[in-house]
Amino acid sequence: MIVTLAIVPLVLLAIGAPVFLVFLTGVVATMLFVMPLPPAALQQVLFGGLDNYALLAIPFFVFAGELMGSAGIASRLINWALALVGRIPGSLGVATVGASTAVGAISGSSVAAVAALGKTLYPKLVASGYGQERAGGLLASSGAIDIVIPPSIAMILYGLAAEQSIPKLFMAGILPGLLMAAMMAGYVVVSSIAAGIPSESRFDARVAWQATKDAFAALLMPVFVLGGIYNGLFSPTEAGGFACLYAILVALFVYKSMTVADIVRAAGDSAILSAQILIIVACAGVITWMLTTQGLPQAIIGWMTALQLDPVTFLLMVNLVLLLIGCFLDPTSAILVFAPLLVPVAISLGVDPIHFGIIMSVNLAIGMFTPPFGLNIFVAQSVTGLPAHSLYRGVMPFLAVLLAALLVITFVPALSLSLGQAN
Amino acid sequence: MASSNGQGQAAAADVETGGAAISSALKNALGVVLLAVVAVNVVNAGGRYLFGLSFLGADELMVYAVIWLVMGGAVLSLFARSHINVNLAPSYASPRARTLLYVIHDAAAVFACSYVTYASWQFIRKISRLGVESMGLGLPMTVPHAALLFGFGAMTLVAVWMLARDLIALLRAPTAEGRGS
Repeated sequence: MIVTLAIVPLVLLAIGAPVFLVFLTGVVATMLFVMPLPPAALQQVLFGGLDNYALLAIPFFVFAGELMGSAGIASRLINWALALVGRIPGSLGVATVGASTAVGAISGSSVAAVAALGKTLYPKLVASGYGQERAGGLLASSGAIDIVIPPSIAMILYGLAAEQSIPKLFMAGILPGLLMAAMMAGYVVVSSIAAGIPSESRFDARVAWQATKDAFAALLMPVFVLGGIYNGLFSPTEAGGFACLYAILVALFVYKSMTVADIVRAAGDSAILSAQILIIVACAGVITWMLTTQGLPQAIIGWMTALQLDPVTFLLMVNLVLLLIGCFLDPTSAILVFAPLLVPVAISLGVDPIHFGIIMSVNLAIGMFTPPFGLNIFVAQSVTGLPAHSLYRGVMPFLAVLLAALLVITFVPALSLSLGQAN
Repeated sequence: MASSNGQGQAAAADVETGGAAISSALKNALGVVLLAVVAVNVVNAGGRYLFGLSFLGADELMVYAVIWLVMGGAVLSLFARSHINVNLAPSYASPRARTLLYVIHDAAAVFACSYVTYASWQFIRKISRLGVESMGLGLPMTVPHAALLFGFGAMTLVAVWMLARDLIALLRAPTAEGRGS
């Protein structure tokens, strides 16, 4: 079974096979050659993985993000962030972090944020005195914030896999996400002073007001979505639907930057991206089902109990393992496979499952830009045209900064739980 | 021989052009489905909060439509080779080595998707005999379950075609360019 459920999938993953096939091939090989199960069970588990109302939030938030991205929102958010921080040394880098955080609060897709911001910001960053490596590294790593800032696809999946409240997870992600952004911005300022990179412009209240007015409709969306969920007006899935309606109205009537045909095209793109995520959800569900029926979670709990681990050591171990996994596997797959295995252990050691969800998300967010396989590195590579090894060097300082943020988030649970518990 | 090779290449190019046009049309169709699901969600939630009206089976309708959407999108993504993956090895491989990797991916897709198609067919035969219906809409459960049969069946066919195409590319002269999409 190790061959079919571990070695075959790892080999397929390493040679670039689609992730859903990585899972499915392992499961089918196990069913055919190792553990005969009725074929109909496979259909039931695959279908059961998709037959879930809460999962509808994923295509909705992907679509809302796509609409806001296509409506020219990225440039408005960049201008807004730059108008607010223009006087700070390295202000363009700080604005990059700020814009990435704002995009994350709209779409929840890290890859989309790196692609959307990278095209506009990379040439400007290089022209402002950031080296190519540093600019590419900043863009690739700032996308990690989007996985933690709500609405987050990773949080929705964790909520489903670990049977936790998605609204609580959304609220719990706000402060850790802002901490990550603040630490990255702090590093950009300090390193810009050291490198002699000047600020872009003096702060001008009129320019800031104009930029805020331009970006207002976009900035209102997270308030509308999170406010609605937090105040019990609608569920995350309903909030996703309303976010789409809001984004359509903004694109058609406020920014007037899209036609009906553009909206259908954006819906088509979102449908494809959602399908690519949700087929992984279905197939990861099958591999988790197989591991669970083999008693793996209980075996891990037993193993951890035998090691007599305290929560601190457990969380450090989890951080190391998840960072490693995050370098190889996208957050969707990693959360779906590992949350059902790790959450029971975390709960047995007294770790709050909401806090654990944030720790998992931050780890996997860091993995998104950790060499050699971090997905955002490849996205930044296609946007900037830089070779991978340049980006590897460029992300290193930001990797160190976000690892420090991870330690704070891991060992200060109040950061994750103070907002979520009030709900 | 050269002529038949040329005709073969032209035919393959025609298939790919036709495939791209169909893909584009299907992608827009999936977009319309997603827009319809959003509309049902907004009308249902709005109706419930504003007028106290709830549409029986709306949740089922949305979920089943999205299951069909997922399978349709998965087929198109397989055809476009755009599924989420760790593409370091293919992007750094030589054209010929990349084609070899694609052959392995295609073979894995044929193996896994054909078995799921078989499993799906077995299951649908069973529930169609039992006449199981959904709770809200009263829809025969064969309809939503058939999404997987259709999706994995279509992915099997696409994968067989891609396997044949990539094998031919691999077996050409060693200097020939690998053709992946």
